[in-house]
Amino acid sequence: MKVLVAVKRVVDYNVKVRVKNDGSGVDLTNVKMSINPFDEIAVEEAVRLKEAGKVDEVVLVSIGSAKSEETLRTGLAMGADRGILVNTDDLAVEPLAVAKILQKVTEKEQPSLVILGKQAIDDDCNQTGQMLSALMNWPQGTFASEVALDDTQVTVTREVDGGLQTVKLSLPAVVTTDLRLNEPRFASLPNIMKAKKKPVDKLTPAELGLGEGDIKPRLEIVQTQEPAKRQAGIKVVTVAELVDKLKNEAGVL
Amino acid sequence: MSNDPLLQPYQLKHLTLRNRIIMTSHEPAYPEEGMPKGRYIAYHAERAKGGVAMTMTAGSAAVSKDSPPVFNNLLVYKDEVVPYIKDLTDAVHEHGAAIMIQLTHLGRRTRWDKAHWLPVVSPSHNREAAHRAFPKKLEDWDIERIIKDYADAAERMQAGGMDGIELQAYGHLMDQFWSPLTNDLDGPYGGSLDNRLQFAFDVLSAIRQRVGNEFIVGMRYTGDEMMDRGLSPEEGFEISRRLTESGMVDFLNVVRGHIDTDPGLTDVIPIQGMANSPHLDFAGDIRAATGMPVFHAAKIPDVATARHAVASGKVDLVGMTRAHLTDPHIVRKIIEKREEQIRPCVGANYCLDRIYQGGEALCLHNAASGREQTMPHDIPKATTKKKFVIVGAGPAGLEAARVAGERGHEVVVLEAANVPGGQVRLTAQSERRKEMISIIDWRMAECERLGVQFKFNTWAEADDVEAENPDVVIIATGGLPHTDVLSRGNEHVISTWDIISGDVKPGKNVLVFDDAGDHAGLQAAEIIAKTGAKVEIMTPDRAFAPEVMAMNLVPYMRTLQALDTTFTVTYRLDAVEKDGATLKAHIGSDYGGINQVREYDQIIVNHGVIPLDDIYFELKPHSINLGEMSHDQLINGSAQSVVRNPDGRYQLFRIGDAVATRNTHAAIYDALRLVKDL
Repeated sequence: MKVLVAVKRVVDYNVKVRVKNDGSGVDLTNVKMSINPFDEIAVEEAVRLKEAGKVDEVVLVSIGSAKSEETLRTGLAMGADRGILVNTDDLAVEPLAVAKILQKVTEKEQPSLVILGKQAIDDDCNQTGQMLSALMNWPQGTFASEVALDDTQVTVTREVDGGLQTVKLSLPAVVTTDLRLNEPRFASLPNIMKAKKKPVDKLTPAELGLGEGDIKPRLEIVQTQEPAKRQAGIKVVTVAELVDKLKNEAGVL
Repeated sequence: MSNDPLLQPYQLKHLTLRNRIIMTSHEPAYPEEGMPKGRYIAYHAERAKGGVAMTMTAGSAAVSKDSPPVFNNLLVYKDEVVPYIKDLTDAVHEHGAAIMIQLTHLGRRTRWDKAHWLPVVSPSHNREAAHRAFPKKLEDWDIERIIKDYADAAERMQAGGMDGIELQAYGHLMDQFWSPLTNDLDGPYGGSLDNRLQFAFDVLSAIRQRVGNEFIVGMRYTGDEMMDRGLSPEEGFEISRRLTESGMVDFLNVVRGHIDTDPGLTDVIPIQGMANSPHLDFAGDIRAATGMPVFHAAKIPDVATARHAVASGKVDLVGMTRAHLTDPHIVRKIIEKREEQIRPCVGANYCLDRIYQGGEALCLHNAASGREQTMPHDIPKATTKKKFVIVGAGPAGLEAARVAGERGHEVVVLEAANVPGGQVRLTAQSERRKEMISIIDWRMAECERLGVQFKFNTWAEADDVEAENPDVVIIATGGLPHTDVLSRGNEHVISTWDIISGDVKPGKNVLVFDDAGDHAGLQAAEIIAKTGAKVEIMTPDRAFAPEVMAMNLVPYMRTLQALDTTFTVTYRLDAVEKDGATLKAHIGSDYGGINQVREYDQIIVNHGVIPLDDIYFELKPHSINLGEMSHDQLINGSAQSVVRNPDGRYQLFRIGDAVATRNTHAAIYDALRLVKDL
């Protein structure tokens, strides 16, 4: 059985992001980039399925600039077998475009299971997995906190409002990962070295049969704003004063 | 005036202390011929300069000839010590700190085959496990002699300008009298608690007669031996009250536990992975019961805990002793509201473990501590700005980047992984060693402050380095585990890294062949043993894990013994054969004549790393110095100026494990002493 895992190169979760002066987006110069944490969980899950003997091959796909190869190497160091880089250069691809590219890759690779992060921590869209499922007409198990795979179906425990929901999907299927699915492993230096030698195919959307119109942005970013700076607090002496301020100044009582 | 509880002054009799943070007595083993000379003075002066309220010197300064130091301690039984003490106290006072010293007679906690070959003495013949000497049971004339020695030494310290002294009573002669476990004497010094305390009060009386009532005298003592039949907490409180009521003691410096074994010592002075401030509440109870000025130290590594200790009234003065080995300027940084820049003590205990092996105290990740005469804590700016490219973001590379950043250079670090840390991050995968990652986190924060640029996920090739147009290239790439050490069957063994990183699942019946004797072997063994597997640790050495050292070994032993690990010393794994799922280990011995075959399902070889040095050798022909580092310039503290290839484009240096397997301190010292002059 083959598993396809989608990985995205995003601003590292430790970075305090800054907005560009002109408000056109986030400043990425000299900013540490990493694999999207939810995608890292997806890679880990796929590698664990392989270690458990349920999967023969783990294929990674990343969509973005040539630098996304770094992200593929991170996943390869964790134990994936090979990578596919779909180079979109500097074009900002939106979830639907990504889902269309993934659809083409999925048709080409014929995996039994596609695992994606539930969302990327840069745009927080949470759309790609669902869109891919619709485009492929495959069942979807989103926000997975547990995945059990057998030959014909996958059982997914989903994190939903107020509890857990368990669904059974027949294969092939799309699964998106939630935070508690697993704890990704430490990629050690020997494995980073081995990952250097693993194959990465480089493709373009055109080579996958997608035209410019298929992947061009449909949204226009009007403005990007930093959150308002936190105001300095004040100290109150008595409970009465606190209540007064909450009532009359903060207006929350 | 700050309202920080730690920054409030404190009045101890006539002595005004400028804040509440002290270093409790400790012996970094820097004396020269038993005297505190240049290195000793520089070490304490740096901490006084850094703002500490008081530094307490000389763990265990020896008052008698038959208390020979077990490591390099001060010999305060000699009159010649006085002018050296004067130099030391002057240097500390000049920076506004107070200074005291700890006096002791070690009793049985030493050896007879040292110094004057005098028999070791104690109130019983009971041997101390840690130092192994069978003591002579004290006679009347021994006791009289030692009481006088204490008074003589106290007088010398007063003459040397000390602000006070403390007497040591946890594991040394004084509390060997106190504890029922180590006092077999009859009256007047043995038997009842009154009698067992008589020696201490005789010493205090003799000291008071000699130094007067104004001079500050305190007691650092155990209030609970935490041992079956040992000194109980009830007796400890009673002793605390009697010391208070005697009027001869000005402060209580509280310790809890016993130090006659490595595990006991490690519970008194806990190391990384053990709970912080385990005895703080106990010290607070003694303060509440006596109303005396109380000092206390025991794994209080961070300012927040120290602040809590003082603010909650548990102690008057809080000891941050190992913390000051890591960062001598803690108080200055608190005052300047730069707490987040304090270099954190990670509890690696390299300092203490080294001294108990006869070395000098060094901090695992501050190579300037104890080397104040040659290594700077504040790195001066360079006169000319250079471009540095550093390959590798492990401890060596990050220290090089930090120091180059402090020098004002432009610095780019290339790192293969997505995260910094190298082998330190690997070691921090073990729950008990998690604190190690602060070595990396602190450097990353400093590098960010200094504008160092990082390129992660970058497996640097020679072209990547040269594309940056560097003036200086530093290769800090570390190494890869070296397991090819068998005569045959190397392909059947795995490395400790495979286990620690989680890449390989532990087997059920596992041999860990530890030929390096460092943490990695024991970490792997611990991970495997915890899965319920059968584990045997084998080493050709006479003792296993010698590089881990005494106190660091304690938590490993507690886990491994409980999980029934087998420890096999003096045997060597020669070869491995695979027979189905079984691995046949051919075992020999360096002593000869052994050829055994034993069966396992997994064999791990721990044998250090092989340097990852391809890039170094690729760059070498293009460098000015062809990679040569002048040892004379390195040791003398001058800039590297070797020219072997005038057409070279940059200076090239290699540091840390990229040169040869060593340890974190070596990696950091390599970086600091090279880059501080570049």
